[in-house]
Amino acid sequence: MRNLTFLAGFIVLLFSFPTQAQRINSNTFGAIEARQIGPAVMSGRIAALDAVNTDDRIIYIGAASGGVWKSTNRGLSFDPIFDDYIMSIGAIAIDQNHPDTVWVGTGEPWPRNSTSVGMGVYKTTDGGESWKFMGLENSERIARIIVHPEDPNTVYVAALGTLWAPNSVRGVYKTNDGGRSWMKVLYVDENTGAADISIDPNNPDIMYAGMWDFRRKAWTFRSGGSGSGLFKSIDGGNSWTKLSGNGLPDEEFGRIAVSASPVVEGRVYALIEAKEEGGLYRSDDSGATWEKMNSTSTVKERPFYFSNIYADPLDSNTVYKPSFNINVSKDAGETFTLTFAAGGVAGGGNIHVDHHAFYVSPEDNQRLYLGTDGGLYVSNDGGATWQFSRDLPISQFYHVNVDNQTPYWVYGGLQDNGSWAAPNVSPGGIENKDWVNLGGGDGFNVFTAPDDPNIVFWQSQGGNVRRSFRDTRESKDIKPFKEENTDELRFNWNTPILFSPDGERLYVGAQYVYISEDMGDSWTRISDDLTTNNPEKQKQYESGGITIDNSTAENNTTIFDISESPFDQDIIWVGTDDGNIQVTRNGGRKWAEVSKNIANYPVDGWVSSVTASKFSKSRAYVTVDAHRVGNMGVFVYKTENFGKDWTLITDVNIEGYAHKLIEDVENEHLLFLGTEFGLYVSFDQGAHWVRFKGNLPKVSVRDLVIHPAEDDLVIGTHGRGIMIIDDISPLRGISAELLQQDVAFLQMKPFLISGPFGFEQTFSGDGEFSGNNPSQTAEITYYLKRRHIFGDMFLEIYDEDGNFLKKLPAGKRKGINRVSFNIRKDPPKVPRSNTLTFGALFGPAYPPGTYTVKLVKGDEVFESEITLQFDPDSRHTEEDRKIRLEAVNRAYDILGELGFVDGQVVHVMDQIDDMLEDSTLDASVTSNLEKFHASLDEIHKELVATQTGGITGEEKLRERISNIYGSIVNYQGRPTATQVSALELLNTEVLSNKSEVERLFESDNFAKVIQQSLAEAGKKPIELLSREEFFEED
Amino acid sequence: MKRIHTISILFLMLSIFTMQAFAQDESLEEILETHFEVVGQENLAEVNAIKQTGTVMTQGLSIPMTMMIKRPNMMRINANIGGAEAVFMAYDGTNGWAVQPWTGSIDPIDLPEDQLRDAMQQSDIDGPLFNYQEKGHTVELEGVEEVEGTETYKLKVTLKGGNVLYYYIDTEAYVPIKMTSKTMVQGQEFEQEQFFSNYKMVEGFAVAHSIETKVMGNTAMQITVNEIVVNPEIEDAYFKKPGTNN
Repeated sequence: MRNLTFLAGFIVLLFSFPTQAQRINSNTFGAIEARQIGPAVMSGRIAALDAVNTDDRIIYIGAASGGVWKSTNRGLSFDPIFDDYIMSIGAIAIDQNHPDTVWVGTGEPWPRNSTSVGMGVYKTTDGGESWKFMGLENSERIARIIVHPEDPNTVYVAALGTLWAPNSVRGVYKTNDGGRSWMKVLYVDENTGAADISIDPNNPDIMYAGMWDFRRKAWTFRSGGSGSGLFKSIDGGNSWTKLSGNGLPDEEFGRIAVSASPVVEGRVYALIEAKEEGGLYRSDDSGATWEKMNSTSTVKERPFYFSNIYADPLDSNTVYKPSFNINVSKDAGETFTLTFAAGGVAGGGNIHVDHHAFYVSPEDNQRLYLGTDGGLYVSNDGGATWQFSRDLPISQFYHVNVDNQTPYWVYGGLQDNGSWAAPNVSPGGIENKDWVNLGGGDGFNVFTAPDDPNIVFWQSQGGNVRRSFRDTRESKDIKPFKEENTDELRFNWNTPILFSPDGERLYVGAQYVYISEDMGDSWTRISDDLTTNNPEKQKQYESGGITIDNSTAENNTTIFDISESPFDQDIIWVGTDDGNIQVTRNGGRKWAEVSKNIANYPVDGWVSSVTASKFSKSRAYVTVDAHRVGNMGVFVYKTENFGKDWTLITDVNIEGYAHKLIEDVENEHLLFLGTEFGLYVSFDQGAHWVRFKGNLPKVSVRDLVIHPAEDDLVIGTHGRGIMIIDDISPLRGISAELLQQDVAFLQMKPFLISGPFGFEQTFSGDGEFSGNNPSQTAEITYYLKRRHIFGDMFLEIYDEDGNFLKKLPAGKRKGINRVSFNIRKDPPKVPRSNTLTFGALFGPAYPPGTYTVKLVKGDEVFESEITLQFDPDSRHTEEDRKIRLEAVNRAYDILGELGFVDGQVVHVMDQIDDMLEDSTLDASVTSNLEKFHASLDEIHKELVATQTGGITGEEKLRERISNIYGSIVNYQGRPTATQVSALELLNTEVLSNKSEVERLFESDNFAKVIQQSLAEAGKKPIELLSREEFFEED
Repeated sequence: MKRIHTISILFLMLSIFTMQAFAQDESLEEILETHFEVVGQENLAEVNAIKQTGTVMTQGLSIPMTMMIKRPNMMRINANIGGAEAVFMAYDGTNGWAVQPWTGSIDPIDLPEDQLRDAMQQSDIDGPLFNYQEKGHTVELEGVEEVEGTETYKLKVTLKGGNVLYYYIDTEAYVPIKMTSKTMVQGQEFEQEQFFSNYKMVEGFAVAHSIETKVMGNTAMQITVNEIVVNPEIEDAYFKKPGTNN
């Protein structure tokens, strides 16, 4: 005893020793994970792609802000393969001699206003299973990577460098050792990056590079400058010469794309942005002399976005120009036509505009892959017709909203892909066909009228706000206009429009705040200009540099966010894109600019969100994003006194410039923050933050909303569509104290009993994205301090009377666990057969009530409760449900009884079968056994379908009753009258068979003839199956 | 019986905690040695056959299941689904077969190649890590990786036939908490993750009594082992495809 006590004490010591204070971290969330509901129906911007030349079924695509995806079936379906890393991709290059080696350059090279940022170069040598970081971390954007055609260790990187500020990690880099070390072989200055490089496949010592002098700011963009130039190397990229004269334009260059022909030795194309003589140039003597081939707008449009040119890998005179649309020249650049017009095929070309990434298969140059602002397209006929890849959910949302329908719908607007909506749950999952288009252009805020989902508000870029009828699609422009006493209105690219918390007032922000109480039919201006009104930031008509580009993307000195206090409609917060934070406490009569009260406020910051608190009248949160002047810091502020004082509430765990902060709807300490690199959660009102990682990569989180009834956090990402974290209510119970417990149950909302979510018969092939539905079972939620590994751990469910119902496998991970509690009883015990009874696969649901949950972990038992209830909004009345429940139980019992009757019969038949193998039995005994077996078998065949093979169509009592049971149990409402009456009729048949079986077993024949003769022969008598034995056995 | 188990677990855990001091920078050999000690591999080596009965929960169904393994390399998994008796997979050391009543036929069929490989792998009572060199497998230590927040040693196991498995061995407990494999189903590759827990000592060796299988990140099935019989009486014929003599 003493020894044992000592041992026990020692064990306690061991277990208590390593215990340390548990901190909330990313693992705390455990099984609370996001699900993506798409959409892939419109997809998103693809910045780069490559395919394996010798097996072009294998395609890698790089999304502008959605990671790297791989297809092995020519674009039919895709898998993400880069989710642990940065989401913005600029270049992909396969080592074509070792196709499992793939280089990825991060940071997209198409630097529009909404572009993300990258972090260097990665490499895989196993086809994307694992990745290694290869350096150039501060390059921000990689435009092109080239693997030397003969030496896999020699790789060239065109680093574009930072967009928003000068830096020196840009130019052409070369490695000779597979990326272990890099040499900067071409550098101009800290404003000029490498926009393109090309290697002459016939002579890899010859290379061309387009260097680009460029800069973007929130309010302007410049393409071109003294740094831009076309360069050539003749020593494998070790040294470079700037090309000039000899046919090239004699002026300042902008962006340049280059492409050396793999077919014609010495032929190279250069697409040069220049004011006077810009266009497509060609050299047939390796860049010694140049000739201008084409200067139409087809080749010149939007160089910052479309500077791309591709020489065909097989045909000497074919060259492609992806642009607004995809054009091809068959005469080496002299003339271009749309690819879908070139072949004379009518009807082609229903593809998204804005083309950035392109691949021509050298195995079959009619096979083209095209990456656009709206996903990937594949052509098998040289671009005449195109097939859309429907499995790339890389959609780029700016905003997200939800409505109050059941199930609720999610609304959002996307970069270059309009406004869309989808239900958050759909039979079989949320598929492309579930998404409904509600508006065009670039989409931003989209939502319904608070009390009418048929009325939809949406907008396109630059403040074009509209109100539509969803059913007829009739749409009304409701944008406010300049009045006599105002300036021309300035609207942001992404103009704020929203309803007040009570749904009574509609807000729109230009540089003034407007309110409408009639859904946009009339507007009242409630402010003066709330921006800095800085004229230097209002020159978007000059924006673009060499090629003017004024698409409203550079509109500045505008209002970017508005938030009305849920406490008082006269308290309104406004944030502007030029850094102002304005608050009024009297409905707009007087505004106070309060950003000036923030210490070390970032210069030229952009107020990306303002949030009036739900919990305190004087509290508000503000996020500020200063990345557009190269400041990548995280700025999140809180005020408790209407902006008089501010606290910076960030910590080192947050990465990425901040986009949006929201409060939980119940717990004022619980905050959610979306940044350029993911979702962050604070449990202490901003003192500490942790990244939420569950199925959510470091994608740009632009907008967040909590569905008030479902407690779902709906996330609008810019690159990975809509993510939903279902039921965040358990997070409200997380505290430092709770984390000290080994096991702790968390809040479990009552589960609403519903039927199967319906069925849909579609066979749309294997290329359709499908997002997961939320869990459709009750969920038991608890926290575990550490992973459970040794000994028992399981859950038990008991009803209100303490009766044991079922045992469930437990979740054992560290952090929060969610265990599905299938609220159905075991299926009815149908008679055994060679065929399945689909009707009786599932048991009926437990009735509403409060159930006890016992979590058994080793010797310890933890208890909690979970409530099941009918949906109060259900179509089915209490009375309907009562009748259904009675019928279900009746059918369940009848099936059980049938199972027992047949079980008795089969039990005896099996024994007789064994006995008949016994050769020592007298012929008379054998004969009696056979006869008895035959009479039992006759009954068995009435009870159960016994034919085998194929679709027999045979239906006996087992099948008939199971079908009716299935019909009743799978509908939540009242069963049909004929179902109930048919059931009773079948029951009389069960009963008559039952009495026939009883008669046989009680007959003199059985007792005297069979059992007695067996006893006389010294054999065991036949045993009968008891009711208890039947219902207990598995 | 239960008491014995509890005490075994305590000893098991005790041995783990005393070994914790050496957990850093361990070589593959050291990790495996500790792992074998913790799971009682020696005792398992004495065992000729194991019968496990339990339940498979999948898609809302609860399916009773029996798994039998016998040396040198035989296995069979039986299940009762919808009132029909199925053989999920069986392997007699040479041939693999199954009975799939949901297809409308109860005639045994030969296992397709991918499943045959699975069956072969499962017929190794000791698991692929034990004596891996003799079996022609290779095992590499790929480093330390977190599994759902728990630190593990990641072992890459390349089976003799070329199939690759990854074992994730808890750096404190020295038992696998996860194993991943890729299976080809009709030309499509699927990643399958198995999570092991509820380890209990049975006659001196550790058996995970709970196995959760996830496919593409979603839980596909959960196996709970209710009973284990060591060295049950079982004929070799039980593993052979019915209707064949060899």
